[in-house]
Amino acid sequence: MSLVQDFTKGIWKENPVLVLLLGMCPTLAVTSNAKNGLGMGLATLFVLLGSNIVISCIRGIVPKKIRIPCYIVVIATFVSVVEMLMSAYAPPAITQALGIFIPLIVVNCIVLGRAEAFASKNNPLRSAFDGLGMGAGFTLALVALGATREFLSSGTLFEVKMIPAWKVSFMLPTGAPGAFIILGCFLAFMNWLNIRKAVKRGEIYLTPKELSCRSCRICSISSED
Amino acid sequence: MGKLKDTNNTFILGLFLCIIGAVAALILAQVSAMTKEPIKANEAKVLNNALKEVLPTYDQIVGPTEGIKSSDAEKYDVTFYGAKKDGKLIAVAGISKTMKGYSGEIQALVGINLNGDIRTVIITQQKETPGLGTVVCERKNEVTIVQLLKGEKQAEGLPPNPILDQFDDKKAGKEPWKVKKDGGTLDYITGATISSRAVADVVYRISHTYNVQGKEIKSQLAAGK
Repeated sequence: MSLVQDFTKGIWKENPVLVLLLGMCPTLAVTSNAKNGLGMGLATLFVLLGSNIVISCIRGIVPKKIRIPCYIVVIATFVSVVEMLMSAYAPPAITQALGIFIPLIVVNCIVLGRAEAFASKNNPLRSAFDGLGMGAGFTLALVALGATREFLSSGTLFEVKMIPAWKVSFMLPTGAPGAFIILGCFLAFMNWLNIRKAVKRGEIYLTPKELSCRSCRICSISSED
Repeated sequence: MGKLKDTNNTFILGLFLCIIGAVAALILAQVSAMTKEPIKANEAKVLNNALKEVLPTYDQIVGPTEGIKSSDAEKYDVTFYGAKKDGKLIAVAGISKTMKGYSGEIQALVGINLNGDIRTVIITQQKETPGLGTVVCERKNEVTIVQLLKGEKQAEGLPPNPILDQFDDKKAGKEPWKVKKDGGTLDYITGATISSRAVADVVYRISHTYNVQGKEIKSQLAAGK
């Protein structure tokens, strides 16, 4: 696979939110408007890029038995760095809105998932592109979700009113139930697209082999020895 | 290196984790030292911007005061800043919080004239429900796409908020303020009664503290540089 493919697969084919369904907690929680989604996405992108590169560099020397704790230390370091940089340089409104979710990137399964599934098996350059692509996919999904929720609730996008006559604001889309409903619609749309594509080719749509549960090794830490 | 990767020696595994942790700690210490000043400057800037909004034009800020507690049963800290012009104290601003918000703390900053009348109220920190509680707390200029495209300038000054503006020119008496629903005189937002109550609570506390302990506050601020 080429570097370009490493990058683009995260955006569409293996989009972390819409296809892999990873990192649902921040996805549902912070996307009440487009701005928060963008902030969270960019923070995660930076962490993914950094942790992917470092983990790929140390993949040759990390003992198999303790690789997960090692990855967590690397990821946690990057998250702390992002948190400090954000409170120093990002607009205060964003830092305040994202609050608890920045430290929680540590346990965001996208980051650990990419470390285990990709960075620990590939060279730093490819891992960097994988991190960038996954981060970009995550950011795009979060912004799309945030924008939809924000627009449906008050007709604004990035806090700019798109329909001046829209005066009332609806609670449902920005609340937690709205997050689930709209994410559900997104997932349904994604699946519909994939199924339609498969049908056009005269095939039956199946989950790509590399994404199905059978090829996942993330739980088999002890069974490998 | 292949040996290290497959090692089962607990001592080596521990040592490896230890080294990784130490490297991470070094990096974090470095970044923390680097961002310490910008974070401080950022916090000071946020506070200064907030003070500018609630105080009249001044040429010096004095404070914060120390050891001032609210005179009600809860004994919250109330911190005061003073605005000086030509060496004279012209107004003060009190900052305090309440735990009575719908989801946790609400922190308010209240500008007070020397005679005890409230100038302006702004909410500096809150985690209220978007679309309900935030309506009580936020002062926001709405920008519409039409204005943006036409390049119209935004209105200068503090955006109005009917709930926060009703405290202007008020002075706390002996009885705590109540919203109309509880038999008081203050307006509230339907669906956000708890947030409205919490805001009345914190604003009353700051104003009341100034009225009761005004002498102590003024003498601390007058001495401050």
